[in-house]
Amino acid sequence: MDIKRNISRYSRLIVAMLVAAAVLGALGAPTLVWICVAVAGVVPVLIPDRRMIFLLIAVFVVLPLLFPMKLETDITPEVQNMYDRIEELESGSVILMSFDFDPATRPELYPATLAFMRHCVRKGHRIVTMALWPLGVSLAEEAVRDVIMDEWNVENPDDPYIYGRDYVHLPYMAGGVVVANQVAASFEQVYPRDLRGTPLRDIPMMRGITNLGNIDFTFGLSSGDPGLREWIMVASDRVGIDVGGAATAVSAPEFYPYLQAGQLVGLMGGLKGASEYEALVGVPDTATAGMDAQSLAHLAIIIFIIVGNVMFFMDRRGKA
Amino acid sequence: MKKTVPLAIVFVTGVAMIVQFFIPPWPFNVLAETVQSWVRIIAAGAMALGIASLLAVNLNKVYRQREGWPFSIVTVASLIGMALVGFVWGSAETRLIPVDSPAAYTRFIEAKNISVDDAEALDAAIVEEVADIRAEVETRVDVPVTEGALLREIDSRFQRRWGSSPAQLRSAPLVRDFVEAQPQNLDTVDAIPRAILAVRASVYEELFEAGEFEGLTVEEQQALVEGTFQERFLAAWGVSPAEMLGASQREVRSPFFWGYEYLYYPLAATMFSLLAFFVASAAFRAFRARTPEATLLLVAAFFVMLGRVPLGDYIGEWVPNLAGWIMSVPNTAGMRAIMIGIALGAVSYSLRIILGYERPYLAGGGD
Amino acid sequence: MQELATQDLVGLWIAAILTLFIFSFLYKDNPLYKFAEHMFVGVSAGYILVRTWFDILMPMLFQRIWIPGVRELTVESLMVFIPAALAIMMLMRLVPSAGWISRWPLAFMMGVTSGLYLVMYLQTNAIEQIRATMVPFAVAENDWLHIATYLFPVLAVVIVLLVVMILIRERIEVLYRKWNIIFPLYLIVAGIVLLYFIAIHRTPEGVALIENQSFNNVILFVGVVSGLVYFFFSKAHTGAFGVTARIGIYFLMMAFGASFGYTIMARISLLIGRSQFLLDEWGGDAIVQTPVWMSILLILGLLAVIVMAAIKTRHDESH
Repeated sequence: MDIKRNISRYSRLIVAMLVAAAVLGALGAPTLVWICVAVAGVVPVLIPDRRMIFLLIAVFVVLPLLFPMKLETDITPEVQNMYDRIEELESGSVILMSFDFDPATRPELYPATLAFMRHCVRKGHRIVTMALWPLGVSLAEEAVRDVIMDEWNVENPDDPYIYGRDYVHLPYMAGGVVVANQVAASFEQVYPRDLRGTPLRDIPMMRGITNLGNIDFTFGLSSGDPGLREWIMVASDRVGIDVGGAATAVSAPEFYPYLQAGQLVGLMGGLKGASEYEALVGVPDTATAGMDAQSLAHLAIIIFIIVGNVMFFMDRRGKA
Repeated sequence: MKKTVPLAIVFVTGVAMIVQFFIPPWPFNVLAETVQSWVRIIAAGAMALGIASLLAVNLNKVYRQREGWPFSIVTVASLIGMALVGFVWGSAETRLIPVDSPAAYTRFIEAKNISVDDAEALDAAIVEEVADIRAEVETRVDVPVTEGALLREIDSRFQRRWGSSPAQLRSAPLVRDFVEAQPQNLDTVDAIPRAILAVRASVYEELFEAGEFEGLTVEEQQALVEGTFQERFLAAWGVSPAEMLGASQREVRSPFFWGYEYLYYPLAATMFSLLAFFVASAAFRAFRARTPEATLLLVAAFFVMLGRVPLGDYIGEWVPNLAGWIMSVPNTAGMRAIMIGIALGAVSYSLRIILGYERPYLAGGGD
Repeated sequence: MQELATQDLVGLWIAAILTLFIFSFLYKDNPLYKFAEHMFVGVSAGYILVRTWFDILMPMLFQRIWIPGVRELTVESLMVFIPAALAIMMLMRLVPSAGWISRWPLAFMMGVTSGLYLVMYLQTNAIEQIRATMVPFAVAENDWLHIATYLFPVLAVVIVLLVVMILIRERIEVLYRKWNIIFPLYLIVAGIVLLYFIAIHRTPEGVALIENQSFNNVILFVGVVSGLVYFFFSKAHTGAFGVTARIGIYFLMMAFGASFGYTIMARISLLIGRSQFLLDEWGGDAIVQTPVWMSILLILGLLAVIVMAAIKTRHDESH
């Protein structure tokens, strides 16, 4: 019933979308792309139910994961800059990784964590992890397990990463900006013990690292407050060390002014930023695998916006 | 008491924090450090308050059998369950469990018909067993894997089959001798560490009674004890203390981390991934180019969405370039205008709080 | 190919079931979703409780505070009593008659963070940002020539367009209403074409216009200043001031558009993460390594539960 009415009312729109899909197909666009244009452009017009939109979005995320198109990505300067800075640092430099997110945004930030940590481990940098969010601790442990224990140490048994010499876990601490600000003066003041309960002064690696001034690069993984902004305020503007980070795509645009001002060396924005870093490090992982799905879902949403607008203006014209 | 004291506290702490920015030396640095350390403990108290009030609300709901009270039981039960698991087995990712490598050794040599303490035959049997597992793993490989992943998998299968890793099996006779010489059993995690520490303590006592420590600094004493201990241990048992420790225990995932990985993570991430569906539905129903401003917004969003995925590169190099430009120039300009506006607002708001014109902390909790 | 330990296998199944419980909300709110939602609240509170205990309260409080017979009496071990008392005062909020005591620790936290943020926001988000906006308009050797010959005409066209649009704004609104299908589309196409030309335009040296530092610095300056003018509400937005504020709005709209695009990107990424879990970890590893009959039984059971929940919800609604 409704479908028949919709076909006659929006016939020109439906034809236009089908023609667009056919043209794309003729021009040699990947199969999934022109199928997406045709389906996302026609189905919601026929059945404008929100559950249909849900279903379509699920389909256009799952299909490219099953049948990858293997589209290639470019590298943005903000990711390239960070990679270069880590590359320039001498082996054995100290990197502070602050895990200021929780599993809710793990799909976006964890690939960035892995790519960055892999790069650090390959360069032989020493790593200090800390967390301004309680859940960050488990994410840090997970990242170390995936990159150091299960990967580097298994593949390089002669040159393993050893806890206390090459990396240290610091526990969660409440207080947000207060913690960042105090770390600028002294690690031991904030953290009497590490995550395993060892006093900080008994850890060989921490003997030379008393405060933020001894850190060579601060890397904030941020999905809100407290997060990367606090590290820019403290590490970059007060202490004067390099700060880079990965932010969820929701908050990434807010960090561009800091990039332009030089307060931030580099930024990985969302899954795309992570996929770029994966490409630079040379280990394509989940972020790269997700980029096709990201492309197709964006295309579907753009088409939803176009179709929704055209239908809206057609209806308004009909009423006028 | 109810109003004056909080006002005074805000004023003093606020001014102290500002002063330490401009006059860092003593005593202001110590004052600021102390005050900030206290804040961290108070913030932990705020966390506890949140959890306590969550419990109170839900228990109240169950007690009064308000609508949906069975779900409150779910909340309370999972809170208590997660907390219990954490308090009993610890909050770390892994915990250590004892490995009874002598028992695994006995099982292994019986299965392979090797006589006790025949190290060569044992080695050969282990190599054969590892090759066997490798072949089994490799037939099931459908994706190319790294050598590291393969080795890890072989180790874990060996572990599951025989109860200890190949390396632990090789050093099992040494552990057996060590255990036989010690009056401890192997059931608890810290049995072997305690036995090793007992050896170290006896070395210390011996050196102390022999008067070897005289005239030495604390560091030199420690170095002497450590050196002698390592040497004697190796001579007596054929392995270093660290190797002995490694042969007798193994790390396993802690239950708390299991809860994080298989309960917390899927729940949190899926809850937020629902937003993808709602944003798609809103794209179809709500985002209209009703005004020129809204049109500009949609055009900018159009290029950013296309230019920030590989599809943009596929269309042409100019798409990602343009998206990059939108992000780093107009977006930066707009965001910066907002940022400066907010910063000035935040500064005046902070000042109003410190001076007591703004009193959000007085809200609630009765008069 | 990795063989899973039993605990991981069970874990993956539970994770997948909870994931599907939550996704069932997309069809309709139902008891399964409510179960998962309440479990999430409980598990996260339990996690945070354990974390706070082991990471903060133990090392900062209990391993420092003076306990007779356990620890020596020092200034430090006595000082810890003050924050401990303040933290307990915080909990008094739960007692209705003594709730006001919680204002003390609250005031303490508020005072410290306000003092910190006052200076930090001023430095990082105001002073540093203004400094970074005050950049030269002509960066390279011959850039002032480019500005004269290329950048200023382009900029002038853009600004004239904007001014014209602002001046005939009401007229545009009328057009919007009158030609309501063609006009917005025309504007969108015009916007896309304009941005396309900006994107492909090259200076005589072959450098893309949008990569020219001088051009970008000019745009940035114009954007920040006009955006700030828009936020200046003490003066009526009329005349030249009003035009500047309008230009500011357009920059803000570009920024909001970028944020909007990035927000969509973020949401999709989260869904991709969950899809990868269901397809790879659950579908690829867990289901394959579970005995076939058990997989079938579990999936059928899961389906039955979800369908029953859906039917029950529908039944409840019809009453």
